[in-house]
Amino acid sequence: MSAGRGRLAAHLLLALRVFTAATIVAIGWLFLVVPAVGFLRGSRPRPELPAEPRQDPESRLERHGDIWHCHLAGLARDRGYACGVLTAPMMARHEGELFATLQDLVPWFPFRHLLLGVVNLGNRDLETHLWPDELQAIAGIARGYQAAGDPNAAVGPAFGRILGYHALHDVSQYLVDNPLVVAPQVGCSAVVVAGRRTVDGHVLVGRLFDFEGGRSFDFDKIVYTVAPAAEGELPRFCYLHVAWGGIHGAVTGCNEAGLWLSVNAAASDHIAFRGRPLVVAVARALETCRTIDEAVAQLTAAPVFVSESIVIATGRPAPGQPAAVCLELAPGHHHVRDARDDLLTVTNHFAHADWQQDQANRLRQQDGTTCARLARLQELVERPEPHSVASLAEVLRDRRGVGGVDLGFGHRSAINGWIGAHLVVADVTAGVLWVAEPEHGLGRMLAFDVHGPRPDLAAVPAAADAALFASTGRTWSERLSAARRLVQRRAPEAAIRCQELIDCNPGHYEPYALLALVTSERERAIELLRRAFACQPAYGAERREIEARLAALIGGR
Amino acid sequence: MAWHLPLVLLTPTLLCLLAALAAAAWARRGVPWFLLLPAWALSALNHGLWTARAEFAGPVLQWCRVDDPGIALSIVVLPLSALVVWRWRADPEVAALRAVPRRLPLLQAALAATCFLPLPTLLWLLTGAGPWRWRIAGARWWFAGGFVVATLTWRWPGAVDAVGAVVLGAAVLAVRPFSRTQRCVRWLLAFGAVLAAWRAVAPWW
Repeated sequence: MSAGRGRLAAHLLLALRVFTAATIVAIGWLFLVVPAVGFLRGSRPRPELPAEPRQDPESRLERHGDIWHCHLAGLARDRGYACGVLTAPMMARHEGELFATLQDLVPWFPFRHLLLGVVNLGNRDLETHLWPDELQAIAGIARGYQAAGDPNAAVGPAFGRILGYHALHDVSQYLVDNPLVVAPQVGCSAVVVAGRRTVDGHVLVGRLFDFEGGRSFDFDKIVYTVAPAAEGELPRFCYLHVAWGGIHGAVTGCNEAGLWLSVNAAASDHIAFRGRPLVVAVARALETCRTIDEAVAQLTAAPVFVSESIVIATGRPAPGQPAAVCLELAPGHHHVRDARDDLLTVTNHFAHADWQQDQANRLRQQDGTTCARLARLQELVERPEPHSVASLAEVLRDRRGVGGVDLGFGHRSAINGWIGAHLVVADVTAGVLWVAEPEHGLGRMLAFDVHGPRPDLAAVPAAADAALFASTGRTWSERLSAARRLVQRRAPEAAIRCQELIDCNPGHYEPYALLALVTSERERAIELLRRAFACQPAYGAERREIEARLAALIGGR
Repeated sequence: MAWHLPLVLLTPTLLCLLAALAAAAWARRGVPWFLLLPAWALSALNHGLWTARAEFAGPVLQWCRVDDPGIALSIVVLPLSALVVWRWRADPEVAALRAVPRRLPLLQAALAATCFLPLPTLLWLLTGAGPWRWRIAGARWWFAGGFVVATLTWRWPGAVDAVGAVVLGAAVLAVRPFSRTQRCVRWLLAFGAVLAAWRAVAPWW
């Protein structure tokens, strides 16, 4: 009997030892080998430049109101170098906030190391999708940043890192569904009005760009005016765009030929892990294209690895041609949606009829905030009075639901959920962009054209909500996150914090739903959940969860 | 600060240590190889980082000594040590290594660390840490002196390595091998002396 027990114990001990050894080997592979291979494959030597980059005498950085203006002139490598040197402090802040955001999304370092390794592995041949002048510009940025003192060298070599940032938007889209990442949903909205819908018949474009990588992307937003020198065979147009430090790419911009391009994230079933970074492709289109057709042809010629709606508008439409289109671009597929009746509205899904069978696009519409924002946008834009720059700004600052329902503030189904990084309204016909000062598009809007600031043009006043944001809204997101954590821990003060949130923002659904979780009285919890549901939860998953909790509470009576 | 790159550089060392842990948990000779082989491969892949070394900046990476002798050594030394163990398995020192499966990964971890750790840190570890503190007591003053000089001169890699080579060489002579462990330590010191000498002259080739 005791011999049998001894054998059993020996077997168990052996099994334990084998298991321990196998676990150690698995941990070594998962958290050390795989990320190291990714980092090593993602590191590459900085390309040699044909000549030492220099900062063109015209290149400069200046403050205009509360917005940075950076003028970049010369060859791509010189523009890149000037960008790296001039915007280095902003780059350092952006990087710091990106790392902090990543830390929030993926709190455990080994998982972050693994994730970054895998991303680096995916980006190992990114440079093959860029033109030589684009690579030189990014190499110039890296040199300029290093010359200014790169504070994040421990993360990776500067060139590979900055190259990777140019694909950040594309990579983050395919990471949205990754189980390691709790990614926020996107919330960009754009609208084009033209002809009879505007006061002077000009083509007006408004866009709110949401990027939750950190607050510095709003505070340190940069309006770039770019004067490229002749390089290669393609024509080079001066252009201006709104972005952030250390980028040779564009998400919102307009060129001297009167062409506007801006991007809104989307989703489709077509997935790729390698391709041409979209922001770089958009910058090239701004630099080299004159017409909508040229831009569509150029953007669809290269393989992309993100699904994206690209609003392309022209201030000089040919007779019978639309003033704007939405290029709905996915890896290997695209459809073009024309403006109809002088109007084009775009949020974060593909609206062309040919995407009807696309499952990911349908899910985005069902579960995201994109349809709610589109409906509200449509409602506001289709008013009988013609639009002006100020009225479009008003539309993009709206925080109500369809039919003017009060959603409180900071609601992600609203057009402006107070998460945007920049708000721009452009008179594309006149070639002027009005860019909002911080925060979240609520500040005064200052005019710029391809040559720089236009102080001669009147600013659009700050939003009426600016005061509310300053007094209550600025801390809303942090307070809501804190309340979520307290509720999760069932902390004693959770109910008090939730009630405080309800008192300061009674139209918002989430504090009611949170308070219901820590309310012991069933009737009160049911009442709170009903109130939360009536306040229109932003996401499908939240609606379903509230419904399920309600059903459980009512059924358990 | 996100220390991803130093972690990548130290991954071969860490893998060797994990291999030793795995072998300690289940003492079979085959176990460590699941981690030793990728450690070697990653040492070779570090060459990719070496080609990008002009990009490196910051004291951390300088201290991690990503230079071509270091990279070349890391590629060569780990497989070489395993070859020694395989080829001369009847030798008493080698037999001592083979007898306990975790010893080879530990030796390799030390060798991998020699390639990447700055010599001042290495010398500090040798003089201050673990049982070696007593077993190589005769050489402690050599190490302490080397540590001070190397710390003062770490910005000049050749100088640091020259000092390191002298100190480690002296330690090889100073250590009296009374036991198998001490014989292993002497092997390690001899290796370190050769590596340091190479690193001292390599920049001037």
